[in-house]
Amino acid sequence: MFEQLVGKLPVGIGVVDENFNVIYLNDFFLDRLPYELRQNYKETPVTELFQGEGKFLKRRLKSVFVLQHPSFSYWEQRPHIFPFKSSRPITGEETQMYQNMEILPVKDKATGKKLACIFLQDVTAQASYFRAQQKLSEALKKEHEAQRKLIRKLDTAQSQLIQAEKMASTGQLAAGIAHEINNPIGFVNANLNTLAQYASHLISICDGVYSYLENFNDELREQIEALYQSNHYDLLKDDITELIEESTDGLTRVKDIVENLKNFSLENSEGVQTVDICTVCNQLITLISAQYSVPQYKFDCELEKVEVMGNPGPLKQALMNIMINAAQAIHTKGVVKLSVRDSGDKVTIKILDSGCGIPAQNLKRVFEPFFTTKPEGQGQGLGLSVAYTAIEQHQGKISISSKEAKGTVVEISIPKQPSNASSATSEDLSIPSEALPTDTQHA
Amino acid sequence: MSLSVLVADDSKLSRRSVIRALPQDLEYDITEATNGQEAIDALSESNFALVLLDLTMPEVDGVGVLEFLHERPDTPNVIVISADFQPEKQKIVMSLGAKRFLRKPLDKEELAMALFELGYL
Amino acid sequence: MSIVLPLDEEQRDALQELLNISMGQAANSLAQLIETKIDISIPKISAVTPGQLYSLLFETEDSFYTRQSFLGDVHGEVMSVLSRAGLTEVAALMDYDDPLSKEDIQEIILELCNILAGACLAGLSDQLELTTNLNMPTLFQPDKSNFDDLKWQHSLVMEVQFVIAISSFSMRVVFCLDDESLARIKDTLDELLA
Repeated sequence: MFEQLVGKLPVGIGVVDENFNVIYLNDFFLDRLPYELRQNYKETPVTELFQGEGKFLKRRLKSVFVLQHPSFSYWEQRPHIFPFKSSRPITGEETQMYQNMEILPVKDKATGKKLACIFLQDVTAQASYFRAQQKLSEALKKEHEAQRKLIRKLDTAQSQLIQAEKMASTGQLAAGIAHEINNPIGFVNANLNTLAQYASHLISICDGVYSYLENFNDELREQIEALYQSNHYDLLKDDITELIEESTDGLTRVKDIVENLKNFSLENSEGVQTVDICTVCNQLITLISAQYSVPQYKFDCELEKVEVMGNPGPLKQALMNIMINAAQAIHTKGVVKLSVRDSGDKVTIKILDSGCGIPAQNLKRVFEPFFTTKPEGQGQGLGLSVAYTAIEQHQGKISISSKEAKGTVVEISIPKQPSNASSATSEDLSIPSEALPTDTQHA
Repeated sequence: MSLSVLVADDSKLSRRSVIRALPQDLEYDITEATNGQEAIDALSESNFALVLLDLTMPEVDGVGVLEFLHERPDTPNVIVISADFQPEKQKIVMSLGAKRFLRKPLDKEELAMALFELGYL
Repeated sequence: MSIVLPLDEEQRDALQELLNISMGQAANSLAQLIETKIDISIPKISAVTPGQLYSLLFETEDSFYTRQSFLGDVHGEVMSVLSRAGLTEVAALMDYDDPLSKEDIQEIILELCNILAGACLAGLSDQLELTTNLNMPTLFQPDKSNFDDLKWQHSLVMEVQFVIAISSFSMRVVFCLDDESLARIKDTLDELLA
């Protein structure tokens, strides 16, 4: 009865002797033997009957005989010890049977001979289920990771927006201050002019007195001469004019800067009007060269004036962002060149720099909002995207080309007369303006 | 006259089972050492006819004791009784002058046989 | 925090010696199979809390971990810590071809545990005249929080270490017993000591 039972068990049971020759196989093994071998399998080495992982099987059998201790093997590490087909030959996707094996040392009660009993379990179903689960969990893990990345990106974007907002209000503040500075500059300037006149009058008086010196008596003449000398009149006369001239120059520069700041303030976007690109470019060069003194700046235009219909605020903002990038790209020595060309119904502006250039993989992303190569906290990655939006709203085009270590060219073309002027009202173009920093550092 | 024996083993159980396994035909004068250092101290102080020595002991192990004895001229017979009976280990022990190597758990008959071969019985 | 060992000095000594003998047998088994010398440590016996057990097992970095349970007259678990270092040399001794796949490594680890832990337990059971059956070992990655959640307060652990001298490979085997089994082992030890 037990023999029948063992024969029919749904696990493989085989017994081998110390030479690895087969003594017994149950139906599980027999069913998987070639038909002609089923009758005379006995006394054949197990590794010859089943040519799968022979080397491994021998090693394990040896260990069981030597140690007299059971040995295990799992499908995870060694799925197919015996070359058996899947238990689902028709419907299953597995082609080979997944197996767990256990080898136990046993003793023949009659002869006392050492034997080893091989138990083989078909775990194909378990294995395929387990593998499906594993795949699923891997997919879930991936998805989870993607979501986490997205959340991180959103977090960064949010904090950058907050920062951008702050910068915009700082810009307004700067414009306000510029306005306040304008008043004192006004009266200082007027006073300085008057002072210059007064000084020249005083010099005339002194010179006059000096030319009449001979007409005075000796005592008086000596006194006057001593007065001139003790006050260093000659030096004073030369220096006073120079000092006043220098101060006037300095004041003019302060006025320029304040004027430029005001020009870029939000309150100054008065809607669509005639804008002279040449004036804008020159203003920009003044403004940017004050901050970035390393590059040499050049302006090139055949005409005195090139006018377009547009919104001056955003247009200036766009050009400034590009210019700042160009200036920042030059670390030690180089040129930033602006050229403006009038080609009938449109104007082409080229901003060229001989700076470090932009790597190819970054080039296609530079107009993306928040794309920046600057260290965290130093750039918002908004400069070029703001420029892009502004140019687009003027129905213009903007393109960029660059070569690493050679330089970068940004080309902008805008129609002189927008086909529908109302599309470029100040309302549409109220992008947070002048203080928005630029994005891609060309490195 | 009784045979002076040093039994060196860190385990009390083991010392007890070694002493119990000694054949009744003889009388023994037994000294116990619970580690290698104690064994060395005992061996320096007095002369023993026979040492029954464990290998795996704290402080100084059995091999240490054998090394100590190996450098001395007049050494007692040493029978090593150890659980660590790998062939390598047996080789080392024998090369250091042990007379016999017996496995733990100690078999009474084997010990008697060894004592007989060494001429005590 | 130190916990009072639930064994008296004689019982501890006896258990340690039995374990020592079992280790010798285990080491000899493996030495025979891979034909190299294996050094064995003096076994340590202590009582630990779950947290202490975690530190005992898993503070060694760069290791593989396995566990297997045993049933029969006494119940418990065996956990093994195997060094990554030296595993390649051991694999070569076990007749595995270089380079080792991930599966090869897992298989080698499981087999080493099975042989050493298995032989150790078999030797111990033999001497105590108890019957035990060791289940198949499985790989596992311990998680501290899981140990903190364990129900028991303290457990008797027996720790042994094997070092394969010619490589830098070492393996620690820790046996843990449940309370009922501990009582049973104490009785058996007392019989032995009587």
